[in-house]
Amino acid sequence: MRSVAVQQQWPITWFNDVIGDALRNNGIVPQGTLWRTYGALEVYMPEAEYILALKLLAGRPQDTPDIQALISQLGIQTRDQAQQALDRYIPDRQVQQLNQAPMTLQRMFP
Amino acid sequence: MAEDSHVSSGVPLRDYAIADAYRDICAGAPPWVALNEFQHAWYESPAELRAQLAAAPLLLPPDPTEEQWRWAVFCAAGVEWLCAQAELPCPAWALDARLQLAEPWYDFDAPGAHKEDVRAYLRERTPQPFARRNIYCGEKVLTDKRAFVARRPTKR
Repeated sequence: MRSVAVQQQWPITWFNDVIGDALRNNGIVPQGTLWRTYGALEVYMPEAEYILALKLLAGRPQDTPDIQALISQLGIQTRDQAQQALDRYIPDRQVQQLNQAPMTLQRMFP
Repeated sequence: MAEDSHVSSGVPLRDYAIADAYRDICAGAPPWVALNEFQHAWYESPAELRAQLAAAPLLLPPDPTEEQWRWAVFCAAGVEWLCAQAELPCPAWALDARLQLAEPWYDFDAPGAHKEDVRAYLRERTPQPFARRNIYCGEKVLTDKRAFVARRPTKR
């Protein structure tokens, strides 16, 4: 990352890698599906349900369109179903509470 | 992460001002796509470049639609909030008292925005530059995603 930043004269933060440890510390990170290989670099695609869980945990206003799209794609129709997706990857309810995930769920369903 | 580590060369990855974001919103871009692009530019830039990204006033259409007006007010509130966070002076255009909504706008009309408990939560949590303009969006708006680390219980 640093090498690419120097070569391209980009900020060192051009690629956000600080989230990795936080995700591993707060829940279950699925293996995902190998999408592309570039030499030693392997790029994995996570399950849509995992992305939904992360979006529900983040719960920023700009996540709302993504959450709505993922809920639709996954065929989720109720708040309880969305809660189950969240529980699968972020099982600690205290972590959910501290990140206001219950309120995000409340905001996402009419 | 230390502020200095955001920039390796002094050159921001993007040069996309709030006026650019608003222009693109008015041209039909999804608002959060344009605003995310601005956010990236803001957080990737050192203070002197951030001021430039906020400096130019929005170019409002002659007869803005309700949506265009709402996003103009949001952009002004966002600039005031971001400048305060960065300890930068807020540009005068963003403090124009006319940039205010007549009716409250809750959670960008999210599906549950009509619920009273959601509204009470947002009224309690929304930073003042937004709430003063009648926008209730909570405290997670325009935050730096690199600073996001999920909150964890304190170990005893």
